[in-house]
Amino acid sequence: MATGSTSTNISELKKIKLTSSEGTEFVVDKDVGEKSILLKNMLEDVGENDMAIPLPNVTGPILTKVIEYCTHHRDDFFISQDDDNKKTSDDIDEWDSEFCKVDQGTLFELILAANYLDIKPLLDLTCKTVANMIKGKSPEEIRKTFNIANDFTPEEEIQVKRENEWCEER
Amino acid sequence: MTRVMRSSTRKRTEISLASNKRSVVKAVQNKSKVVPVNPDLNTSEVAVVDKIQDESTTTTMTAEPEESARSTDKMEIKAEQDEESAQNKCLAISIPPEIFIEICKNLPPADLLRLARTCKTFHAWLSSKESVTTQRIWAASRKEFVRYLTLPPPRGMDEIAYIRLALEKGCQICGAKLVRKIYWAFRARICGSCFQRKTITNHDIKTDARFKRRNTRNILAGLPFVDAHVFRRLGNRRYYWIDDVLENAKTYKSLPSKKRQDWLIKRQKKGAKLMRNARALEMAFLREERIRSIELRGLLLAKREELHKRTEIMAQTKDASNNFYDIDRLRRCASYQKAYKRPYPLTDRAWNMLYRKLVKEYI
Repeated sequence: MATGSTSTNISELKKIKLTSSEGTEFVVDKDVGEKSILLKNMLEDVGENDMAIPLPNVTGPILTKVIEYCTHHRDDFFISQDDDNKKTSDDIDEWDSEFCKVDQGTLFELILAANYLDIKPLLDLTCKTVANMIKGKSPEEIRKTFNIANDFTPEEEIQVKRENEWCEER
Repeated sequence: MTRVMRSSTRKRTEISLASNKRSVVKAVQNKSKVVPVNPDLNTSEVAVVDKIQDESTTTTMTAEPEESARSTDKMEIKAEQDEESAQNKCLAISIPPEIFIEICKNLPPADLLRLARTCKTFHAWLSSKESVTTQRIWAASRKEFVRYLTLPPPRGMDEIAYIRLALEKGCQICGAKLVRKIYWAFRARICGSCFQRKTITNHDIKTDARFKRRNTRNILAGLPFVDAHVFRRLGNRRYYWIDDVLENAKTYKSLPSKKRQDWLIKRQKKGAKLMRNARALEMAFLREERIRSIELRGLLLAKREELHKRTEIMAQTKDASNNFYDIDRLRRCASYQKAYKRPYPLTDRAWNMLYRKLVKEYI
């Protein structure tokens, strides 16, 4: 494969192995894997090693999504805790918003995986996506969106409504 | 690069297989409750289970009411779906608090309040006045979405009350609409008549039946006040919150005379701090208002320029009686004058509406 051989010319192209919760092995480029601070720290601690890193908290399909994200953003310089470049929840770029068009179960699992693997940009992106699903909605609409059971008694609900109603329009 | 891509796609098919296997195992488990979790389930077994599942799903698709066996099948599947939706229900609720905090960072205060109304869990997480985490969530929302409110809440006030005081509108006592004036000294957003009712000036205290005091210095020690010049009135009158004064008087009375001096000094120190804070907040708000008025001014100027351009173009066209529109007459029209004073941008749609009005008024 001609295109494949060109990539091997880059000397930095080291691979790392990851194992998902089901025991499926994934091979990814080191720079892609190192988008995860958890993996980066692990690799620094362990050093050169051929052993697969077990990720018991991440399932195969989720790990695939995470790797897809990290591969797409492999050349991005991840800015951490830089307030000047902070993005608001409105400006998610097109690829990222497409990436987040998954069912809710996957989205929440992605959040957990991003948190566990310590990939800040992915955590921000997925949390923003969830926040955008909440924004501007009434409590009832939020419940519907996330399948949240209303566990207030009618009296409690009236009380809570009175205490937490945003008085701007009145 | 391509090699990597290809290997990853191959992996993906493997994974989808694996996940399939998992879900099937789960489904079987749900149904019979005897099959233990077996990660090493081989493919032939999977195929069998798959087949069973396929069959059962087709059953639901073509289920006939007269066949009792099939309808029980259907019920079983319905039960499974219920179980699944029960799992979905926990999805949002079951997220760990640290993730909840991350999500809340992206929500403005009004959305946080609505989120607090959805269920007990979120209500507890968002409404605790003591919890440091709750306070942090609100502080993050304030810093992100209410940029001018950079000062931390005044001492003894929690983030939620602070944000609501600053952002909401309406009198906090009588509920009168469109009240925006915040008296930071009293930490209250109240209308004029409630202000009159709830406050008393340092002059009136001397003759007020509730106090009956010539010397008001002691009972007013360290209390926050609003200067009369706020209302463009002359003199050195100060408005005090009546309840504050009553409480202060009561405390002062109850103290043994030896301790009164110490108490006064302490009170005054505390009061000075409070007033400094109130003034800082007032300044921040004035600044914000000034910025807003400058912005509005800019919008207004841009609109006036646009209005000029559009009427000039209009003056090159002819009216109903085939005369050119007179530009000065156009600009004297009531709807033009009205539009001239309002800062809302003149979009094409707005101009079209105005144009129609102008044509009518011109005659």
